[in-house]
Amino acid sequence: MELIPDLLKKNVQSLTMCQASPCKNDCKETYFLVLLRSMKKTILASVFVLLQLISCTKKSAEPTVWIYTSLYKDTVSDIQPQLEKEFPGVKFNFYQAGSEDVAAKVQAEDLAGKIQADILIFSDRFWFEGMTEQDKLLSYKPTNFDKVGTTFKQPNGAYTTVSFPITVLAYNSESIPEKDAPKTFKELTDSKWKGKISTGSPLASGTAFTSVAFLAKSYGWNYFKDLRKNDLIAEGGNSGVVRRLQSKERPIGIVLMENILRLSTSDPRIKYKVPEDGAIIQSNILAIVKKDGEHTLQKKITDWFFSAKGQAAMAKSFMYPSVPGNADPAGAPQFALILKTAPVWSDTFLKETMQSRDKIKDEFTKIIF
Amino acid sequence: MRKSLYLIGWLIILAFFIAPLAYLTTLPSTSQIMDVLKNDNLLKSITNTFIVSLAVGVLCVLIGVPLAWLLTRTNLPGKNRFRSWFCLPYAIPPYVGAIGWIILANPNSGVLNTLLGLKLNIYSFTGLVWVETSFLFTFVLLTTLTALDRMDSSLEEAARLSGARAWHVFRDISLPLLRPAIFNGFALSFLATAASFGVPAMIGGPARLYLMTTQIYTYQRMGTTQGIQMAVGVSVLLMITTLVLLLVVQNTLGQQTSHLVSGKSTRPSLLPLKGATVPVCIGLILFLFLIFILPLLGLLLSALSAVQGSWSWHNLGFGNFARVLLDTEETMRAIMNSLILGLSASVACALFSFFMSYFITKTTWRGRTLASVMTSIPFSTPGSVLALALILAFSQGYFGIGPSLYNTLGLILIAYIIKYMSLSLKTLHDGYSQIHPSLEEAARISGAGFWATLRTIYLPLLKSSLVASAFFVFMPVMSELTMTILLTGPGLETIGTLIFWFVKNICGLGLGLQAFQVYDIT
Repeated sequence: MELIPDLLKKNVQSLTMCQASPCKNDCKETYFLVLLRSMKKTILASVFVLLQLISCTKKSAEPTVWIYTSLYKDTVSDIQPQLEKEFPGVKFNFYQAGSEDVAAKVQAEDLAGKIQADILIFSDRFWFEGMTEQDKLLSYKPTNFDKVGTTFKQPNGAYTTVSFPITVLAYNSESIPEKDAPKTFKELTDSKWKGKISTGSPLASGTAFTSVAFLAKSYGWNYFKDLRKNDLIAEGGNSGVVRRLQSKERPIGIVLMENILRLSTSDPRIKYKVPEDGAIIQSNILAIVKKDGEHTLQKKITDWFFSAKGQAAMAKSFMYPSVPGNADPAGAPQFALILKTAPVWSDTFLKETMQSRDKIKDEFTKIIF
Repeated sequence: MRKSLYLIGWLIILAFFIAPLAYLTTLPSTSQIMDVLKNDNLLKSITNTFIVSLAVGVLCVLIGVPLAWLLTRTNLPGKNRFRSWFCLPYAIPPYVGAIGWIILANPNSGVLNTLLGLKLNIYSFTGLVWVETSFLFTFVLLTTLTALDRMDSSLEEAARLSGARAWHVFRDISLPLLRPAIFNGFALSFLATAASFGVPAMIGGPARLYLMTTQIYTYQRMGTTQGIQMAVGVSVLLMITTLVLLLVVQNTLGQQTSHLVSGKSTRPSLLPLKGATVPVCIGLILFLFLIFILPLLGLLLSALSAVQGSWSWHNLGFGNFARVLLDTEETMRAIMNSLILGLSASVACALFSFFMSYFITKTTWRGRTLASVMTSIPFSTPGSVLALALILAFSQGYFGIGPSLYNTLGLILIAYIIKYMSLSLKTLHDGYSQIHPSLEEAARISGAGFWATLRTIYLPLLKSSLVASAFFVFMPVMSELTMTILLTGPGLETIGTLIFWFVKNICGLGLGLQAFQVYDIT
């Protein structure tokens, strides 16, 4: 494998060298030969690369498990060695991207005929609900399934929440002193916050969508019309909100608590409040893709995620563990307190939102854009 | 021999450029496409896309053409240096520039606004057009520069000897000869704007300018099969619009009616700038500063700041760079992968274009124009849609045949080649159409066959076009993310995905790489 980059480099060098030198007539001959030769070599080299890569993926006889996830890379580097230790001889392949990219990739694989992923972990509950309706997920109740709150799992075990990120109100304490910072989502419509708020776009981010769905249900669309009057920026995902918080471009943000906790050492200026009208609980879901044959290994791995070790890894990643009795993430308020005020993931809410997903996005687009 | 090569070229186009996308278009039903068409938001987005792209295209021509003329036809000191400097913006992905401008000119805390008391607002129509233009004018500049370099300047001289003034020479002689190059450049910048996603999302979003790519993204992000189908519906619409535009340009304004390069060698006589030299130089440097250095300075400020948003000297340092370069073993692998991909893609594109453009411009065979239009379809298709099409076509072998390229660098390479071939093909196309057939005829009469003609006539004359085409492809490939993020797998990091993960991991990380927030979705 080492050879190939060198080969390519040499070709390109010889190409550029000849181009750079003032070509006399006799040089033209060699120039073309070089091009031809480099062509041959390049083709050979790329074929070789491809063969290598194909054989690399085909050769492994050991069982391979594909986990598609939106978990952060540091979380994965924390989990992967633990899993490898727990399941010796199993090869763990992680594909990491934003929730929507993971969803799109799985969708495309499905359309092409075969989903490669074995286990999915990311936070778009509505997507998992849709997959359940299409019977693409394996019903399995992992260890501690019964302990996970009833509103946070599919009754037959097609999917189960493995951890909870929550959406809170964050602010830059350099621009807004703690005592003045907004305390509720509701009061963001106050004209004193004009030009100060940003959030993710429900069109681009699953967690932002969930927030919009809940807020629209609690306060109606007029709430968003008022936010529009306050010149709300709704764009991108959560880290865009964080960037605008840090640069004071928008000193108030509707964003995930984990994004702020991650900053606690590097940028303590950014603080958050759990809104008094309730933080929005997001569901980070785990599901097994239904395939032919046994799913013994996948089930065991799923069990691990709901065990004390797996749940601790989630807390380490600043999300609340879904199995009660495990420690909350460092620096976060107790989950029990969050549950008291948070809007409830009722069955009706889930069903209604499932049906009106496009309408919600359309309505939001009309109001905000 | 020649004909079979041409057929092979067509086969490649059909198999790689057309088949995956065509297959994708069979997925949505007609009623779904109708639903898409009836949507109010979509109509608005179509108008917006058209207006923004047109504005960018026109502005690119207004900047690119005079600049190219200054850099070739006058005795401007340091012309070569200016040339390479003005090509620099192309080496930077536009969304990175967008971040730079957001840092500099956002209405609340933009550095220029707070330090200089200006009232700039980058979140506006003007802002969006400005940022797109400041990067995309290089398309017009490069196509026009190449044409001017090759143009037989005896025509211009004849006009000048007959008493025409510099402006008249430009208007009556150079401009008509340059028309195809200018329109190709215009088409490229128009298409690039229409297909761009990063800048419209980051600047258009807060400005509430809703474009077609944003709409496609929305549908795709629904994560459902229906969503994908709707996304494809809009993409098809975008493709058709751009196709029509391309065909029109190709058949009317872009048609080369005269040849610029003939057997006689010429050297353009340079117009003395005299007293204007100093002001022109200062003007050019200022312009370069404005479009390129200023946004980079904004980025640098952000990159060096330990704490974002508080700009003070003691806060600056190289900690962020150290984190990027030293803290991970994957950095080297990502750079290596990106280099392999960039080099292979640019060489492959240049090679293919060298042969295909010959057939397109120098023969009268059927389907030539169609071939060139077809290769530009993927260029005007949003990367995420293209990636989906490729996954569909390649994940189980090629439509079920042969070994699977899925999760290999091979598929990523194919994606890059397909997406950026158009850039390379257009450059070579321009190059070929400027060469007078008399040269080839001379070679033929002297007994040269097809290969000898290519080798002795076209290859030497097209050297700069080949290099330019490789550059056109190499640059965007090095930082591509939209397609890569969907096609990547274990061990297949590229510079793009690496940056993406850094930003996700350490939110405060500077380098302006927050650019990728667009893709951050948890």
